[in-house]
Amino acid sequence: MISRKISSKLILLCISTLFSDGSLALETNSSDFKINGFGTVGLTKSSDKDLGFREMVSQKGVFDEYDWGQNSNLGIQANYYATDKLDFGVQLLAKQRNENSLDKTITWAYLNYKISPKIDIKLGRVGVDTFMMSDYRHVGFTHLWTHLPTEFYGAHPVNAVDGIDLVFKQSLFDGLLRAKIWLGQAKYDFYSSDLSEIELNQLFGTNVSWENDTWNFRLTYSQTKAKIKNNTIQPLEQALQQASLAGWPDAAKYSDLTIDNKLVSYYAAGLSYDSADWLIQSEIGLIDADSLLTSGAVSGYLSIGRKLGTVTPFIVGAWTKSLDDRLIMPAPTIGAYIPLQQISQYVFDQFYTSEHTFSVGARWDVQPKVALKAQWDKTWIDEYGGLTLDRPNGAIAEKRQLDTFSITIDFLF
Amino acid sequence: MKWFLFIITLFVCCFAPLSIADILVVANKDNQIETLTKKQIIDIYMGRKSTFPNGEVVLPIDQETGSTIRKLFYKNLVNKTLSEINTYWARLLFSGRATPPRPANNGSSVINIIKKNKSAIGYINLEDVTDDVRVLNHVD
Repeated sequence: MISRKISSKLILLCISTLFSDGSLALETNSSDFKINGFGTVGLTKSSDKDLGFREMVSQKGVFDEYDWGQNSNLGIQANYYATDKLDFGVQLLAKQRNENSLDKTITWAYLNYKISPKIDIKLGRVGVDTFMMSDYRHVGFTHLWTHLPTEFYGAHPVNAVDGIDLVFKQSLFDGLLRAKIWLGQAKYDFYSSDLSEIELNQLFGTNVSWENDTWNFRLTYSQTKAKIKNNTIQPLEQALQQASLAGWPDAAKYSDLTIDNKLVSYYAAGLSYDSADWLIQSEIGLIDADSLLTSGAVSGYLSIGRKLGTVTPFIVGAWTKSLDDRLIMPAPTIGAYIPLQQISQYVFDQFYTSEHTFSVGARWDVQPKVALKAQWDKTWIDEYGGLTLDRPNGAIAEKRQLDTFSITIDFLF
Repeated sequence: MKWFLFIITLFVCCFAPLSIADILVVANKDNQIETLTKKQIIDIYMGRKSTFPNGEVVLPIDQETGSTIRKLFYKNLVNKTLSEINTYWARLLFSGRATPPRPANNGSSVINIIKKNKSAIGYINLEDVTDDVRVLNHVD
């Protein structure tokens, strides 16, 4: 109901933007204080009753239904420039969430100090660009697609840390070299058959990028100590430990399930080429996790768009695969433990991923600040392998295909 | 016929170059910078540099959203459309990396801002130029 109200307001705002000259700027007369915003009205339709399409694992999926909520949002950002060296920024984002709170609504809120023309330091809730589009992923207008490639971005919804970042910028050739380090903590929801909260502590990251008007290259390394808060894993772990002492010794090998303070590392590389005619972008990433439930995954995508005036048709290929084979719980020696084996297997399968998607679509720049996009995705999910999808009844034992159609109107103001 | 050809040739020679090179990059008269290269203008207007080559802070001024001059300026400067420029700046602005140039309503309002602010630079049509500003370069 709330999402419908938000959607109808977004549609009204969007229509007013469409019929204006595209300049719905809310900038005040003062050069010290600025307010800007962005928004998306998105309609999504998927094709399966058991597998729900979603952009991020923190969201509920869209099943065989029409949905206005998942891909719609409205963001507003205020910046105050106190001096040439000191400024403050805060960004609030209204969107459909499993649970709304002020903490989740604040995308970031920071104090930025320019130590020198080349070095900036930020304190507070600061954006992290682990991947190329992480820190502006909510701003639909900045993407060619209706949604980010799910296989690559879906499993890592973090786009900010509560902490500090330091940026160094230097002109190099005809472009800009930028190096950044960040340190802090973050948390996000992982919505599977039940809701887990994932805490990332001691989160450290660094990236280096170079870009000019056509090319952008970037490399990232990040690491964190992860903790999963979940209502199933801990009781299951205790049950397996007890079973290992009471007739099923093999269960001990599978009882270290709690993910608490486990090291997770991210490695990513990205490249984009943006000329007058072509828009080509690709990223590849590896998540390496020190856990029995998941050792991590490798994923990537390639997007090719051809600019034809104000319309850019595009194709995208994206894939993700767990580093290890699916974890199998062996059959117990005592029949009474068969339900425990089945529950264990159900939980193991939540963490396995193997899927790929081919997408085709187009973006139409209706106005300099308004874009209309349409996209069709065909996703092939291997046996048990749809981690990025919402699976209310658990992983699916057979291969499945999923068709998802989405349209969006994205705007800036 | 010869007269006709002469008039056409004269028109092409005199007026065509004028219409191509008619966007001027201007600054405050008290600014010590004499000229800016195209690369330096790109660095300032694309948010890669926040200072003039002499290290002084720069305040770039844009023209009105959707205006013809803004469209031509970015097309000539970096060969990008206004949608592409808006995408570029939305990425920087909404990730907290940089702030886009401050927009003005028209050429005379660009000049007014520059007159009051020693750090400001802007771009205007040739016909809008006055003695109140210093021309640093033209963008064509």
